[in-house]
Amino acid sequence: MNLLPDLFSMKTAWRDARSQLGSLLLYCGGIVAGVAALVAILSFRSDVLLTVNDQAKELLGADLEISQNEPYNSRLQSVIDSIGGEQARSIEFSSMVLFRVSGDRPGTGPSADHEAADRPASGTEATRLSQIRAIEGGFPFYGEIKTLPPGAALEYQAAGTALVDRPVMNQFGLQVGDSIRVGSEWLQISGIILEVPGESAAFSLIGPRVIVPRNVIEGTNLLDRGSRVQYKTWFRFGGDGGNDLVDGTRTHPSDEVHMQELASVIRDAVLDRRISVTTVASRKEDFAQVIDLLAKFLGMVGFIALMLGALGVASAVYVYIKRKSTTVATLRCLGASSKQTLYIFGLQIAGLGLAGSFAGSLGGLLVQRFLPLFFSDFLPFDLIQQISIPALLLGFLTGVIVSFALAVLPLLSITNIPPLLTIRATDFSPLAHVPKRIKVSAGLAIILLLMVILTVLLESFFAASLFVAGILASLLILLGTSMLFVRLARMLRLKSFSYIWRQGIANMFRPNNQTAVLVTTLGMGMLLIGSMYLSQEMILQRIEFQTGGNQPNLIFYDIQHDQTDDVQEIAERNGAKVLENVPIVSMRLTHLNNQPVREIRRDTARTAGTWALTREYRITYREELNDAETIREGEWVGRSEEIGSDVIVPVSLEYRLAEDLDVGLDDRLTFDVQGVPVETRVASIRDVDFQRPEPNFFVLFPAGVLEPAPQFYAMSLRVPDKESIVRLQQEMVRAHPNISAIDVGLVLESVQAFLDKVAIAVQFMALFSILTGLIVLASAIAISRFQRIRESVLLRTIGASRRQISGIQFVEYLWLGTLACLTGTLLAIVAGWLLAWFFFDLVFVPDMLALVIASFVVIGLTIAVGFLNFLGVLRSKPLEILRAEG
Amino acid sequence: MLIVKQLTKTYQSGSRPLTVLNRVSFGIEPGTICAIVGPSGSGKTTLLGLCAGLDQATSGEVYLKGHALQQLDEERLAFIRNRHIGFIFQSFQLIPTLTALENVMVPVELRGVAYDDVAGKAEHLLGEVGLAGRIHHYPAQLSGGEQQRVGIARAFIHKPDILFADEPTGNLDSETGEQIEDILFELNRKEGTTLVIVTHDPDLAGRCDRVIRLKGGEIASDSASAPSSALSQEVPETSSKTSVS
Repeated sequence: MNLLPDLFSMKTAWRDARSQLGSLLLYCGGIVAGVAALVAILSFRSDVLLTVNDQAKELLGADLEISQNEPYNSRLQSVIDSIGGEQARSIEFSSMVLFRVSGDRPGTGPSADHEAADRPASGTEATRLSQIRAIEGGFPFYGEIKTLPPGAALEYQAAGTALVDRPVMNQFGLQVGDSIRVGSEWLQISGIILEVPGESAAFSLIGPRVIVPRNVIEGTNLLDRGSRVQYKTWFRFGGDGGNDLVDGTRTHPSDEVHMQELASVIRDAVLDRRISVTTVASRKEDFAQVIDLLAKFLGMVGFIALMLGALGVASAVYVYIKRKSTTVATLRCLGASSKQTLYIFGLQIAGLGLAGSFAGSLGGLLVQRFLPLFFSDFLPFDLIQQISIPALLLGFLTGVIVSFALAVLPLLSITNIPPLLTIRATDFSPLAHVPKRIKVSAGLAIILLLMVILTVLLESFFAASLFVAGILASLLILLGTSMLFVRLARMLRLKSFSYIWRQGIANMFRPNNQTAVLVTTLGMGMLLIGSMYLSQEMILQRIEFQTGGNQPNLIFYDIQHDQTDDVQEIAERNGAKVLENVPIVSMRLTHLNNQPVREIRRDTARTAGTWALTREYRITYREELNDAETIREGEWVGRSEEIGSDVIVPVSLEYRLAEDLDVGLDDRLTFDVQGVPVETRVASIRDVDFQRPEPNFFVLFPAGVLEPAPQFYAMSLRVPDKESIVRLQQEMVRAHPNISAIDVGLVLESVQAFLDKVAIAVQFMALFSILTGLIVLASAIAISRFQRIRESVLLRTIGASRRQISGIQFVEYLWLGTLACLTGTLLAIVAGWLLAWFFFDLVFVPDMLALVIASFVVIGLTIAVGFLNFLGVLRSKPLEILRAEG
Repeated sequence: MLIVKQLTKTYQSGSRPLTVLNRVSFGIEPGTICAIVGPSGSGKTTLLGLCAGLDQATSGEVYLKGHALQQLDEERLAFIRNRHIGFIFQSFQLIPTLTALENVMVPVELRGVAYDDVAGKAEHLLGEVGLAGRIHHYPAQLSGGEQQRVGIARAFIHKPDILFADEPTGNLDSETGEQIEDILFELNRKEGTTLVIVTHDPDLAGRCDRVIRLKGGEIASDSASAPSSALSQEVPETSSKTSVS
């Protein structure tokens, strides 16, 4: 059987299409927007991966990085020494930094005398918990730390000065030449950090980055007292640099394969689970994974826009076929076979899909140019932009396939148009003539096709299934709700309404109405935007909830035992109320049920997570549980006997940690408390609300055991106002430089800033759904124009004014927009409520004002688009239109 | 040319069957111009639809050029229509997106004939119906009379054996209607086509060789009795399937 279209079908398809190209292209507008979104996202992903590959070494700044969160032992040091190559070292930790704005601006600068920094001029001061990187050597070996003035990164080590992150410089009005104090050392600022290789601008949100020479830190007491410190060594291997540990003889080139081999050799040689060896390849892989996740999420949003567009096309095809039914009947009368008629319109629809996808692909390339603007803060490099043929092809083909797949059902009805329509004018309803068997098979085939496409896009069958199920459920709910509303509208006593309102409302349920399709597409857009906005609000609310009333708003940590009294005195002098002073003991897990952790890690049958086995535990002890803790299983024991009395200490584990360690009640854990083994048993498993600002812990010891162990303290305070918080921090950092402070309000601001940035990026993509909805609206109105035109013209002929006609249209679009927004918003609220209930554990209070404003905007746009489309009809003379519409 | 035997068409109207045509039989000789007349609802259009293979009868038989239409599926019927039948419709049924010339060419192009091989003939026919200067106009740019002229040209382009016209002047004023009748009869005379016209117009019926009058779904009168010889000559004795290949 010949499946190719014959010449007649091809010629007629073109002849029939050419005089209505404009309106046909409008039908596929939804596809254009959807494909544009998809191509933009896929291209963006490809750009990121391309840049990662191109600047792979800049991501790490070296060929190899070794890091550990405690000083190197002699074994590790000798391994490092034997590796050779060019090396650089750093110590990284968080600490309070005092920033001082010099009162005497002139004369200061990067070239100013170092001595001046030792006696900073008096001026305003401010403190912030900062990320200190104390570097020695030529790091970064690849890429550069960009500074203002340029080149400051090359001189700070020799000059003994500091480089400081731009946001904090701006915040405190600091300039190059001003001073900072780290620990007990004063340093002059010689440069503003603009970019650090491998780090995005969002890094600053954690805390300002401060880069200082390593030898400055070695002189302070910051490293001795409780701070969590990371020790790093970076390597660069030239063509023949470094001794080869792989084959024991010569040099190793810095290619990825060789570096991976070297990394595993180092791990084996060091025999220490705490060491982390990172190569360019592994850093690249980590980064690509994150980008992949982001791209997949945004890809899904883009795909929804495409789905909506395709739905719009399907509904357009439905109305189009209906309009063409007499033409098809005439062709059948003249002897065209059903295959020929199917091909004529099938070719047109395929052409629409192709044209729409092509235009969408071009649009996607345009959006690709602007997309990085929304993500620049999250990317540690300037994106290399390039046209990605695979991304273009994937987006284009997805557009063609999806649009055609959804149009197949109405298209199939062509074969059932009877030639008798030429002599007997009856209303032909396309889908009613398609046998149920074919409808069901086509529906299943469409779902299957979507699954295949999504599996390719998301690289996961499970995710694709979930997504398709979610889309189907949302579509069905939207469709069902719209049908319900239409039924309700029918039940209205329209006779009591004015003529304009009567007609406008009735248009929604008259034959050939577009209500279901428009409510579904616009509603889906509202659902997306609404639920994303509500989730964002809830995350913020979840944090804010914990900061009000008598909750702590400032936390000091790393307080040494001999400092507690003084810290308390300083706090109280500044009006702060000490809520809690929690002792913290560092320890590591050595055995689990008497099996060494090292063995467990090698045992592939065990599911215990590496993180839980190897982390350094910071643990407290007390007699009572606090408000954030609830026992799930077992019994809380508040007091135990001292270590050494052969007593097994009853401890409490947070339930997710217990899951990670794969342990239950009465399992044994042995901790190494700074050299002393402590045998414990899981006496209880508990829920802990970690989102509360006071210090909380994975493992809780009873009182009576850890008191003699070396420990430090975390103090939570309630400080009356912002000024007091600033003053207290400054005084504390001057008196005890090793103590760090967390300003809860500041953390909240950072989280808000981060969420805002993410939200803008995500909402930009969600906008495509709204845009698609509006385009589908425009095309649907253009189609329904043909349905309503005679009615409007008739009304005008018998004397209706333009005002009355436009009034009827206004009422119809007002209802359509309202219905779509109402349904979408309602669903978004339900989704938000579900999230609040199951995920955020919050009493759900949606921001109704924001939702109402968003709804008004979409309703306004709906009316505007609807009206613009109808203007042509209003301005024309009745006869012109009657003739033109045939 | 056309033999109709005991043709019955029943529709279901609610719970009751409605018989529109009741056991109608007649035959039409080649070259005859036959009018089917009758009041509204008498079954004229239903009869035309069944004779032209546009609809399936409830019972009875229709033979067109020896092809038993009741035994053919929709695809074979389409082939028969293209090879043997021409149509003229009351509401013209031109394809609005094709020009006059393209509309006329459709029946021949459907056979796979190339544009250049049919365009000349189509232009000639359009000239004959008085539309030489309007061949590239779309239907919406033509008056009702002009549209029906295009319809007539389209009906003759593929030299059909039989032409069915459903109220060809029904949508036109009397003057234009007369012009259309003249064109139709003139072309028919030249081509020697069998012509079956469904009409209300007594003047138009008066110009035909034969008039079949329907009433209540049955033949009330027939100006010429069907010659039995035609029946015996044309009905194939074993025509269970008609080849269309």
